[in-house]
Amino acid sequence: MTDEECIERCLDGDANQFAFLVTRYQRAVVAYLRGRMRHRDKAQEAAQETFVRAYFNLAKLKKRESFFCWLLGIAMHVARETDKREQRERGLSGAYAERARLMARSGPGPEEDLALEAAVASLSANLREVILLRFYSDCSCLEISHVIGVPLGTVTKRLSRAYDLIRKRIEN
Amino acid sequence: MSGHLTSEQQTALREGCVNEAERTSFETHLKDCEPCREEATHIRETRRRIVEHAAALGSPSIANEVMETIAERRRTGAAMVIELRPPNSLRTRFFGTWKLRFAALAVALLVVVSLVGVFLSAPSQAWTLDEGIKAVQGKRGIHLSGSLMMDGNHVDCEMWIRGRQGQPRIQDMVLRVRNGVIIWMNGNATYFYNPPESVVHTDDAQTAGLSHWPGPEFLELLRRIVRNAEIDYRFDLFSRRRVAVFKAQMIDVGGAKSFILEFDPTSKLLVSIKSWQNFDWSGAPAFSANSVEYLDSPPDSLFEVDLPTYVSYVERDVTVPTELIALLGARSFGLSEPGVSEAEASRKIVEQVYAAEISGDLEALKRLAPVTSLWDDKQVEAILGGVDGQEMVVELVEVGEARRRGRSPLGPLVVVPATVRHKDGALYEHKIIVQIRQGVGPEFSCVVFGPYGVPYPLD
Repeated sequence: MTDEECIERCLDGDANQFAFLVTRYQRAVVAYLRGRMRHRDKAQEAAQETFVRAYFNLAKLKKRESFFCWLLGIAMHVARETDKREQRERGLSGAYAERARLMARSGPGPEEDLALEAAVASLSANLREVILLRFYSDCSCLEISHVIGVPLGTVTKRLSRAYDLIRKRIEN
Repeated sequence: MSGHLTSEQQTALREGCVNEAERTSFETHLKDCEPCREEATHIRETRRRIVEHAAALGSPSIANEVMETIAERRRTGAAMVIELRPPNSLRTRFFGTWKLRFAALAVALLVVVSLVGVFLSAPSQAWTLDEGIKAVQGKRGIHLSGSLMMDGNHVDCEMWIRGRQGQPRIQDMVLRVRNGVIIWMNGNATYFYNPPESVVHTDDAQTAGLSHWPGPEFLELLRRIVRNAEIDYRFDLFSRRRVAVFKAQMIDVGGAKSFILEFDPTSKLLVSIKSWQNFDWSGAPAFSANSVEYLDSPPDSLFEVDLPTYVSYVERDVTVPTELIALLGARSFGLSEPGVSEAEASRKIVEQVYAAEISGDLEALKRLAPVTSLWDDKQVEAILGGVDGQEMVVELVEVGEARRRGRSPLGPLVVVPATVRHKDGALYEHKIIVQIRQGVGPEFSCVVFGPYGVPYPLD
């Protein structure tokens, strides 16, 4: 089932169809938020909030084929709100100290590859979405070209550029 | 093949996005080219690292939690909604964010007038209600100059409004924004023109806010419906005169609003407006008018709009404010009608709403139209009937054909026209927005959101 079909059914009142969309994109959204927030549990909570907000705002989504890009926009808002809330609660210095502490963590296993998560999170939106779709939502390049509405050649170009930037940012 | 493989070619090969001939050619080249093999190794390593990370991340399995949270928020009416950053499309920017701000402006102006009433009726040495009413008598128009917040920038705009002769309602309105956007009302329709699109978006009702002309009746009407007004005085350094300052908040069918209005203690007239689309005056105002001029009789030419001949006209979807979705979705409101069609249910709930209004059963009205539950009984009566009840519906003459005009997260939005007779004996066309709710409760149900535009005289 395509994203558009799922959304159409959700808007027609079949809320359970939304679970398909959650399942399809949950790993990509969590991965993005982990890179953005540098915290596994908070990223998972933020991902849940992202999907809940997406559900209640589905009717506002004009380009249904752009659901994933739109979802990442919501995730970014949720992450920002969480950052702001934490800064308010702990004070700016505390928030920076916490971030510095997380950045300084050493010896990550594959699940705790903070450098990779940060590198992916720092990519531009166009490049980040192809990485998230390719590796965290298990989409083929052809599927990605359909999801984001660009030619196959553009997908491979973006992947190539993303690999290059990720490698450089990890090395740095 | 001459030269080296580009990293794009290498990626395409790695991702299996090349044809057979390309694959053979690229692989042959790789065998003999050390720099290209090195680049291939880099790509392979980067991919491996991402694949390992993705695999280690596993499946977060948040679907159940998400669906439970959605169900919980729908059940408790605590649906959380956010305003997204406007997307790149000019059309969605215009109608997604700025349009809402214009709605805020419109409601702001509505409340402006109400606050004149609040102010004039407040205990004050300098002000009396009689003086305020006298100040606006004989005037039939207002000219506002100020700015609208569009996509994060203040854009200069001007607005003219003309009242209907002998009635408290608005006859004409036109808003001209410096960037070429024009919004105007003509008859029982509203038009939104955005030059880059060469499209005029239309509503078949007077939806551009100002529902009443700020005459004496309306001053009294709105005095009754605005709450939490604060009055203060300050000295304006630019005009070098003392002004009276009002701060007020309200929630209506357009969502939360807050305002700051300034009045001239000498003329008793409004001299500036600021409005926010939130409840606490936070952030930059959505609309700000630093010049307000009352006119005796605005000429027709002010309201004439000339457009290029190539523009096309497109009907606009009906929407409801996101912050009211949870209220509309609450199961304690509305009407459940198993086994009837969308059109039949819409017609039935509209008939019941008018029956409640005619019989004065406000409890039933608030159950069928939950936005009215945000107001107390006196406010509801004032909104429905006007100051002396002249606009109260005394007879439902006819209910027209329901038509689907939009959608919210709860389901389709349907507009139902109705011909009604007011207490003053005249016939008016009302249009009512009905929210069809799918998935709220075990049965098909609907709820009245509110009016689509303002009553339009048929006589």
